[in-house]
Amino acid sequence: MTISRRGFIGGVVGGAVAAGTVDAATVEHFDGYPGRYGLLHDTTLCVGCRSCEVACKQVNDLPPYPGQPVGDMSVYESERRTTDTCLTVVNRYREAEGTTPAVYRKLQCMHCNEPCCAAVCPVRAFEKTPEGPVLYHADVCMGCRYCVMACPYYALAYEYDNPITPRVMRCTMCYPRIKEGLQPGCAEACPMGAITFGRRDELIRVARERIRKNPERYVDHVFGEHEFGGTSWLVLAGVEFSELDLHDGVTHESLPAIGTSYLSVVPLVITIYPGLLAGFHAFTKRKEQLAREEERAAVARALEKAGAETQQKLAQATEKAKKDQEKAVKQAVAKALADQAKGGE
Amino acid sequence: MSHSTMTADSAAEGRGGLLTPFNLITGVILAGGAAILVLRFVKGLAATTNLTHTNPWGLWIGFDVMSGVALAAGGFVTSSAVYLFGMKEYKPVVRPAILTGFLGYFLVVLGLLADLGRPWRLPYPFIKQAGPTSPLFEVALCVAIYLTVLFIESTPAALEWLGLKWWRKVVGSMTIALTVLGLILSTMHQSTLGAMYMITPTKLHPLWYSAHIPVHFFVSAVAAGLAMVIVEGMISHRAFHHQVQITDEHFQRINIGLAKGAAVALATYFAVKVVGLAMEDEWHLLLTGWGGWYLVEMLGFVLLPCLLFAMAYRERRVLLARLAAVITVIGVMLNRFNVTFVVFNWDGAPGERYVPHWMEVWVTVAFITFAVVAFRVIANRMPIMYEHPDFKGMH
Amino acid sequence: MPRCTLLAVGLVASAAVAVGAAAATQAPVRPIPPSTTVMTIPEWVGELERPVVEFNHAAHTDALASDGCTTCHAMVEAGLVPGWAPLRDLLDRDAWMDRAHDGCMTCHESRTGPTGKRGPLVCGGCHVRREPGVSQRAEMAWDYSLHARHDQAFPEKCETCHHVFDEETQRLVYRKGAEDSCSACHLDRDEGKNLSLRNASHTACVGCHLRRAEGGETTGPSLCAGCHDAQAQAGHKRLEVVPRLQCGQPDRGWIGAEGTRAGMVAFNHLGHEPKVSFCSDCHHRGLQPCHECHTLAGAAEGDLVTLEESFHRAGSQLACVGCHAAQARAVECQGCHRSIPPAASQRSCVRCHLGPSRAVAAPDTLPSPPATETVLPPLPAASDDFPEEVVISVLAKEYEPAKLPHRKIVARLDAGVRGSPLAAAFHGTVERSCAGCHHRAPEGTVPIPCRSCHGEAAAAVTDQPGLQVAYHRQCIGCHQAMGLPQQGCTDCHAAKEVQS
Repeated sequence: MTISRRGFIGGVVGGAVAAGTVDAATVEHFDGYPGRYGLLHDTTLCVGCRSCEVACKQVNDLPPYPGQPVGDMSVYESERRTTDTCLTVVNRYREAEGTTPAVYRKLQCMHCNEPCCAAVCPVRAFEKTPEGPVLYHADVCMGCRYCVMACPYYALAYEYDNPITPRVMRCTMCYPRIKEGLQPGCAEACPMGAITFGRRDELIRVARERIRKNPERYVDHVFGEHEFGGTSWLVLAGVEFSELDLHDGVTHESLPAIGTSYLSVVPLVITIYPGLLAGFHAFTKRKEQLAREEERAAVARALEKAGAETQQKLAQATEKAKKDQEKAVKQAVAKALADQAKGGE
Repeated sequence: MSHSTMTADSAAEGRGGLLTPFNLITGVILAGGAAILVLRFVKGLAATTNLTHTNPWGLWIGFDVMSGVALAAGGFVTSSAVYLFGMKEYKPVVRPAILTGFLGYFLVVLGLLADLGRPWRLPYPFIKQAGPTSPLFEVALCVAIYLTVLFIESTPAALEWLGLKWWRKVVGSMTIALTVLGLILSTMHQSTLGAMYMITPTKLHPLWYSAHIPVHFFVSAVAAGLAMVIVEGMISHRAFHHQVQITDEHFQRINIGLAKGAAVALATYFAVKVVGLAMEDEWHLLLTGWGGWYLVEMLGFVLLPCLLFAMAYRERRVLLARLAAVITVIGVMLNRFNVTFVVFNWDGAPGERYVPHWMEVWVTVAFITFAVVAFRVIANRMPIMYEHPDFKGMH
Repeated sequence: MPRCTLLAVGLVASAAVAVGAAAATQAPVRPIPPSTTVMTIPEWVGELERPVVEFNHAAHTDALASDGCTTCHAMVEAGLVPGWAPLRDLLDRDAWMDRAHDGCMTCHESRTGPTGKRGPLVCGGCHVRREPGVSQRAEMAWDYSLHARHDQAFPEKCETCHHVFDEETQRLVYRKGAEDSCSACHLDRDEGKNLSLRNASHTACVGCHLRRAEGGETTGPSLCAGCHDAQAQAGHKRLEVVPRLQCGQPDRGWIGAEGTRAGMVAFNHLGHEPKVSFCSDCHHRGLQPCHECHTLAGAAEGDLVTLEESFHRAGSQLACVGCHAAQARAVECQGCHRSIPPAASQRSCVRCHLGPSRAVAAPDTLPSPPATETVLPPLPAASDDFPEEVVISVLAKEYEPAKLPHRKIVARLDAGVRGSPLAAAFHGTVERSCAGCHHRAPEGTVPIPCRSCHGEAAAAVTDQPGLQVAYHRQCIGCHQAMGLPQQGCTDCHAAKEVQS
């Protein structure tokens, strides 16, 4: 395949133009669906009773936790995480000391504003609903578990025990209940009101008000307002958030923005490479062609030169032979004459 | 010459029957692998892997997908060198490299079929619902197309073997286009495999995490591809010596040339990494435990083979090049393993660390064995290691 | 050749891993013993190139025991000057550094200690690079017992310690009747010849102790660790009964500053004296009344703290309201006071401002306010309005109704109130204790039940919890604040069916 110079230049320029038509100025800024719901988790109120875990299992029809959950405090001796049958767990991060109560936190999917799971799913199995919850659609999931790998809160679990219909298991924020106007199971069940369900913007205001009224009780920060782009679960705490296994001081930029922005390179590669590589091929071919022509010319020259030399040598030899012959003839004539002279006496 | 050696070979196989030691061992491995895969589909991934909710990607992704794709990069590197950049002297290694590449990518798909929760839904991103924001979608698309490209690029050997001249000419005329397409696709998916980790800055140690992971993965793939061509050549040149038509001296020149390329690629990779360290001011991290491990990977498996390759090129010593190639292959595998499950979740992740289950290892070895057997079967019958006399000089 | 490279690289890598592993292990925080002084570098010295020297004073006193303290410290009339004398009165960074180095090194080079060892001779020997340490020095606080012991050692000889600075003669003189606290003149930092409180107290105290020790009399410690070691402090003798320190203060008086119109406060000075460890706990800068520095509008002498703030700032122990709020942080009080903001509210003004307005009369023209003590009537017997037991059945679903030992709880809280005259005075009535749980409702003998205000669902706008949450937060919150052991659900209400 040969590409002319014109074609090569055209290809490269065309590719660059195509890539450059993405106009950055037209990118709009989306602050999220207004009026979407969220939950406020006030860890200073949590006493670790795990009524939320019980309610979650009941609502989601999951097998019960073995043993009596409430009152069995030995479960807090190790840090747990969500599993495919436990969509939420409570962990203890500090033991009680005198009149200072223990510190607990409930873990579950944070229903991020810009969820990593939704961004990385190759079949778009996740959906950020206008109401706030992030939903998972098992009917398209092929089980690559990129979402499980990407979630910064370790909130997703996978049904490894299920051979044919394994699903990603995570808190759903009780989406069907929300649609009916009910509260998520955990929020309704919490006896201490450590989980408050409501509009996310309202909850941020409530959280700030609690901090203002009780500055000694809380760390002056509402976690989840901006971290990694913001989450639907907001957390208040009386200890540093890093102690609660929450990333403290992380970027406010959403992880999908960091993690998938690279894909903007793809159109560039697709448009630039063909022209560029075809150009290389054309250069190479031209180089080879030139090399071949040069070789041919050199051979011809050499042959010619050789021919000229041969001619010259032949002429010289012929000349020499002629001279030799003349000389020989002369000698022979002279000898014959001498012989004749001798013979004549 | 070739025909007769071919039949002699098949005859040799027939003489000992199918019960050669090679066949027995590979047979056991393959049978075991098949049994484990059956178990995987009967009892689920929990029965045959050590995957957890915190570590959802293990050996099957780390080796079969990540390392497999990197090591199969020899196909696009050699074909680009020969057909796009005119390095004609490497022509003899293009076909084995393409075949290795094709079998390598086939392995990737096999690995995915084993690892996915619902592998029959593998085509879903293309036929049911696409998720174009996902790097994995891009990888899947590129790998699917590239597998097709590699398949077509492998057909000339089969067509020559079957004597289908016209088809062979048609495919031959597509060579340049396919090579260009292959390079495009390879650039994209090799780097995107690295880009898949850009969304987990909190889970990957800062020495391995960088905004330039895609570049790291691409450049190391080039090095891995070149090294694999040397390694594969080392084995197949000996195994199929009777088929080989090029002189030993030519083969040596090829290896030295590949060594030069690999040295450049590894040096580039090392430089990019060092610049990255400087830009992020991460020098102090080198003094930590993980920093030590990073130094092992960079100094022992990148810088060292780079120097060995350079030395091999200077002193024209193929043995050094082969040693360096083996180290590079191990090094790239080490790097992919690190990123996938060793350095991943290095700090603060709930649960225990992931260690591959022996069944995962067996299945991986079985997949590799399958590729080796397939290579052997194909190379014994088709003109991979030599040029078919009827088609000499064609693309 | 490649084998050597491999070996070398392998060694380097192993070393790197070892170093890394060692570095990764956490080291405990390094304590600095009380006998070691972390040298304070004057601010004007500027940025330091090397770590601050931790001066091991005890090692030096041991080494120079035979030579005495005056080897380094100057002994003046006022006492022993702290710090090394040659470093005083220098204002040039290089001169300061050179003199410090010359002084220390001359001694280190020429002398050896009792064990025969010399002091460090290289930079790194004193300027040690290591992780920052935490000083174990305990603060030495002055209190009634110490003052009384010194008083008994020098009976009627107040001039031993108390002095004033006579501007005319530029000398320290004693004026009888004008004995003020040290902090009246000696502030945070040296101001010319007026030493900081720290330097002044060390000069006077250590100097006197040394002189007496030289004279063979019983005296206090003169080494750092003698006062600044927590264990040593615990060993200091304490007087069981301390006679009241009389400085001309009244038993009770009216507090009212000129320009104010609020009712004056009857202040029981006698009652407050035992509540602090020394006069300076309230009279933090001299013994004069508060309004002399804390004017209505705020003055420089008062650090711009206004009169109102100096009495009412809820976060400061120097203010009445703040100290009272700190008392309410006791465990017996926290059950209710955990949710009551510490700042003074309008309702509590009248607790104190009971006297006539300052506009009407000046405090010194009025007779001293009477001694009062609030005596609370006894807790009423159980009745329908004040039940012995309250059964909460309104929400019983998974659990049986909760039985609240109502009177027992109130009696426990009431006992805490009766035990403190402060609490009794501020509570005023027995019914006030009801407001701890029956909050945000009119006070009275029949407090309203929780469900009157708390509906089943939470009210998001006011952040008011629903009834179930209100019950649990109130009960559990109080139990937590008062240090009761954590109770499980079934400790308060039995389960109806088995929870699994």
